[in-house]
Amino acid sequence: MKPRIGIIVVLGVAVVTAATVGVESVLIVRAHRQALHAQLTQGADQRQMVILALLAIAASSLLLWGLIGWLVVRPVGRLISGTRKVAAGDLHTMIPDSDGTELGDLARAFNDMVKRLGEAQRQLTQADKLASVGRLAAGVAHEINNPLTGVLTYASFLQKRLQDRPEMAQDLEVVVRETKRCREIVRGLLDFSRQTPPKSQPTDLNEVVRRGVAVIMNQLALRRVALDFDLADGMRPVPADPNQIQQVVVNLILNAADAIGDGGGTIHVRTAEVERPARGHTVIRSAKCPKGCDLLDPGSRIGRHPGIKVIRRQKDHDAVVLMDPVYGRVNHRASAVLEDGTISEYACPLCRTRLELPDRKCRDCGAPVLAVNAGAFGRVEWCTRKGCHWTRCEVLDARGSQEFAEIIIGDTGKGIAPEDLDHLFEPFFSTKGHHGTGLGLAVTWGIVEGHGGTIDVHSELGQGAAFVVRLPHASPAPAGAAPPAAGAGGMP
Amino acid sequence: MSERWDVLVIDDEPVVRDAARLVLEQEGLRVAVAADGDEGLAHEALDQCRLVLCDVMLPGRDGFDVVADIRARRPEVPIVVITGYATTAMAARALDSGATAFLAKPFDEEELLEQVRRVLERTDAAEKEGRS
Repeated sequence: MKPRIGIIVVLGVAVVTAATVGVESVLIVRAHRQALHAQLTQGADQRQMVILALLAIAASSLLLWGLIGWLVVRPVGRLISGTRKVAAGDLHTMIPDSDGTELGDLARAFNDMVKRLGEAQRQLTQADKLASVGRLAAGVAHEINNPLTGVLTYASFLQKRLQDRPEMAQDLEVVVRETKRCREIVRGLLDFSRQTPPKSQPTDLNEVVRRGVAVIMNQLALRRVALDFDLADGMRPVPADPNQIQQVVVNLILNAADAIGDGGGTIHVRTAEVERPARGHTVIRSAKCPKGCDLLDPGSRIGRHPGIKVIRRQKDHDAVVLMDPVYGRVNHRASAVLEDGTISEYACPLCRTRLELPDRKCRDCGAPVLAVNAGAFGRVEWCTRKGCHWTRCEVLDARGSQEFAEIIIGDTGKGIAPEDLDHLFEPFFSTKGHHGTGLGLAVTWGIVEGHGGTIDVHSELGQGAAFVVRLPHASPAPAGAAPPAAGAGGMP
Repeated sequence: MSERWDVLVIDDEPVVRDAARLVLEQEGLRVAVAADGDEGLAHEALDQCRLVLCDVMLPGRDGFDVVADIRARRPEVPIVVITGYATTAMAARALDSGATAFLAKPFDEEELLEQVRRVLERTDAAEKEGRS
């Protein structure tokens, strides 16, 4: 029996029960009347019959009323109050949808709708924030940079001419340094509002690290932060924009210093040459269906990368599946429970073209295989069976390991809460309260992404954190770097 | 010519004009200033100077138009565009309009002098080459 017709059946049963009770009572009364005909008068007999019939009807009405109240009025009431809450702007409203009736379906659809509305609202807000900060940055840059020119020029002018009065020269040095810091903040805002493609050149990463550290040495000393270097000898030059990577180093070290706080601590800076297999490390930055629809969804990310969005057709409920864009990793997410069983059709969410390959089977379990076109990486395939982790990409498998130059910046600070890890690189995400702009790590991420590199974070609360930046020696042309904003596809 | 100017600075922001003048005069250069494009184009210094510093966001006529007009009048004079909104697109547009170089605000004394020296050395070298 289909659950959604259950309510009709239950109501039908209720009506039949009520009618049966009524009819039965009449029959009982009739039998009773025949048996006791001699003893009872006609009038008393009729009266009793009417009373019993009325009682039966009242009982069945009560039963019906209770059933309707339980099965219809209560869930409809919840829907109405839910609707009122949503109308009042509360997009976190969820109503219970446990039963398998049509009203349960309606409740599920309602919850789904509210969830999507909430998501859409968050995306709009985020896009708005980005557009605003872009405009703001341009305005701020122009307005602030004029007075800063005055301060910087006069201060540097005086500083040079007061070398014989060291106490004044020192004070002026502070003015110059802090003004230049303001300049960097304004530039950071501009960088964020329009991240520029890197001007790559063979770059000595160790040199970039040393230069970056030199820029902020004074700040670190003031905050009782010690630096511990472990820079690898004989690092090969890596194709990178030295200025941008220096900004990454500075951002990450300052971030580490903030995590350490006032108590003092140590920041470890390490560089190394590493090799990493394509599996588990290469990010798929282009995914198209056979008809060319873009399957990457910048609004739905797995980790920090846009997921590959496909539809899984199932027996009861279709599911939107967000596939992990890191090749060989299977942290897929689904909008509904993935059903076991034989039906596992996959389709493009836009044009509904089927994504399974007719001539291929999973090497591990024999189930059908779905594929997307991943640009320079050719075709990437996944097994369609729930729980099977088989994936394949001929281009990436043939490429084998890739060489990276690695910078690790670790600290002995307070660590990062697990729930914050996924949001760290979103613009305006800050755990520093008023202290942070929430842009530093977003810019950092954009720069590393623009280099075709990766950035990973390892952290446990109370155990410090380590940011690992890897820049590829031979870079596949990176797709345009988008910020890890929930839903914002590009920069304003 | 009774008076000779070395540099013409066009910027609507007094503090930028004054700061640039202070630094450049200290180097022995004679500096004329103008608050917008029209004033700059009307200034007698424009026909004499060896260098023009011009802001991009000027009241009235756009800095790029002003640069193009200066270029039309003085095809050989180096023009350094100064702007508080330094983007690569901005730099490209400035060079398209006829600017010689680009200096981002805020600059310090050394950065301004370095840019000015570099541009003047280049013109001096070109002049020497032209004469020989």
